[in-house]
Amino acid sequence: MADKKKKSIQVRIIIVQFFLFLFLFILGARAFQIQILKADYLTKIAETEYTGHIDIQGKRGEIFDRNMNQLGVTIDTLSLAASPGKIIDSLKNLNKVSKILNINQKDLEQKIKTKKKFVWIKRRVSPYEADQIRQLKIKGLFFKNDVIRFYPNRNLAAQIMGFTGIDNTGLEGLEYQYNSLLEGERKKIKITKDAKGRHLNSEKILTQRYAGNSLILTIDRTIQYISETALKQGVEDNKATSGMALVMKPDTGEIMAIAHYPEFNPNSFSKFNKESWRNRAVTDPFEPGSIMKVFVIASALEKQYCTKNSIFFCENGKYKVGRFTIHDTHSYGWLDLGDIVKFSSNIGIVKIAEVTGKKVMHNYLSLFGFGEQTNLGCPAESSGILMPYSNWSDIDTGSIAFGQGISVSAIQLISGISAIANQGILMKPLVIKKIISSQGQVKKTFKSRAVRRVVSANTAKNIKQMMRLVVEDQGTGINAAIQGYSVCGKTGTAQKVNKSGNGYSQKDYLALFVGFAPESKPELVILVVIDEPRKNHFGGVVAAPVFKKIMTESFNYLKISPDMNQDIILAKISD
Amino acid sequence: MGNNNKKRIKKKSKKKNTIKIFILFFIFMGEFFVYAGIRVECMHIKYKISKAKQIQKKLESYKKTLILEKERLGSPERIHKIATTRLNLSVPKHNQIIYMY
Repeated sequence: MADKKKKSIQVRIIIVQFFLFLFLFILGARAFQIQILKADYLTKIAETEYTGHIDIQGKRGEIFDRNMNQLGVTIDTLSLAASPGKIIDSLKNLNKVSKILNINQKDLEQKIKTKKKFVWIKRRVSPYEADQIRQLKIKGLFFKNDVIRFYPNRNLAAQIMGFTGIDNTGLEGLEYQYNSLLEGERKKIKITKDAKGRHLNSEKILTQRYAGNSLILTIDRTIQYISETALKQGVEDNKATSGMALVMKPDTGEIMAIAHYPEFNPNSFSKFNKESWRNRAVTDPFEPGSIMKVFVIASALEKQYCTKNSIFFCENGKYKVGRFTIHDTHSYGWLDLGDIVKFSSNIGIVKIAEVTGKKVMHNYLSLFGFGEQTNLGCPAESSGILMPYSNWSDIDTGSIAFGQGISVSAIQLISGISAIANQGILMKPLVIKKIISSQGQVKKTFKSRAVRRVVSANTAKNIKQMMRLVVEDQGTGINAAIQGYSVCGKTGTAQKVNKSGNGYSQKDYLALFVGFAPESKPELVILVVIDEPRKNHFGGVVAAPVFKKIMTESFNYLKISPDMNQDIILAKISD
Repeated sequence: MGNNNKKRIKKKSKKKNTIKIFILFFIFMGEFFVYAGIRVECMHIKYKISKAKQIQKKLESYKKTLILEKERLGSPERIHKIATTRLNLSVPKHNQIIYMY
């Protein structure tokens, strides 16, 4: 009996053991299936629980002036978004939102009523607005990290830099031209999430890692400010419609300032007239007036068709070319080359053009860079208009010599004059000095480059001496004279083409002055263009004082001492 | 006598096996707890890193704000305004400048 019982217990034990082993075997087999056979598939499923992918856009690079002062930066901000389906708040609270954000209440209600899962309420809200909205504690409204392009100097150099749109893409100026360089990389990255779905990698840090390159300009913030202030005063004093002022280093071709008036603030560009956004110094060609005389004389001297002592009879103020009559503002008899430049005689320059011939004149104007882009790096650069010489009639040759029938951009004009200041060598104008990576490594350096020698050093020296006379007693540019400095310059007064396109206007002028100093080793070349001045229209009266102000203050700032030893106070530094 | 001895030896070896199983079981359980603990600690450290990165970012943002403020304070427009309005200064004339050599 006892044996039977023992046997039955042993059978039961064996059965239990069998099931246990079977259970363990099934467990083992399942573990094998999970761990080995389905490992990859299950790992992927698990990863979706604690990892995710997000698109990030690296921060846009910055823009600096030549002294590393920030001109354009990207800063963090917040944008207000909503999940319309989750908003159960009262309309009263939503009204408060529209008031805080200063947005249309109906627009807000429309956004909230849509069936979309996500809508922007307002992009780039101020910290104050964000605090006010947070206090309302409205369900369904939330903030998202955003960035904003900010120009700390506001209007300063706005037309050069341009601006970006709501999606941080460059729309004007260098922001547009160098958009691909400035904008950060767009990356899809893997992030780790916790149980609540919060991201453990800091997205902000990552946007910094994939940031775009930065630009270092040749612009000097202080000289830019000096130019803008002087230009503004010049335009307002003469009741003109607009103006431009450019400052260039003749030996390197570096542009130190491009000022425009009217200005605009790139932080709120949409509030300003679109016309003011353009970098007109590069995009808008104009007839340069008498400044052209300098280049015509340079070509005649270089080809030795005349010497600096050659004299021309200026017909006492009236000279017929075909059926057209050329006039001078005052009647002159015999004038040498220096006096033709000094008094800006149209008849004198027409006679020099006749001696030089249209082919040579065209050749030298092309060599000075007219009719071709300078490739400065700013968008929509104009190449100006220099017709083929085969199309020039006799009157065309004469009128081009005093700056009618030819269009140039301000950047071409200042580059051409810089060539004379730089001993006859034309330099490529530069507005960008370097491109640096987000880690500060230099990626590209733009070195100053000589385009070509246009005229000999001797011809350039002779032209400089003639331009020096312009700023002396009885010269048309006397208002540009600076005590202690030998200033060389040339005035220009160009009649504008009638708005109907038929003939020249009798009341709309461009007043110009271009010059450089000191004569022996020019440090700066400055061009001032004032459009449609109403008080007076002569370049020597309207533009020359602006030139003087910019040159004087820039020389003080750059610590360039006078080259003419007239009553200057010198002090010796002792050890 | 011989049977009794065999039984005792069998019992002893059974006891040893049971102890071994228990030890293995505890090791296994221990390993499980240690693993879970490490995972939790890992998560905590990730949180701490994340928080530290956020603080770093905030500080960087603050630094940027300060740099911008410095830019604003040092802008030529502001300096010119203060010099001319508050300090009654003007751009020096030719004979007011002393040139050092």
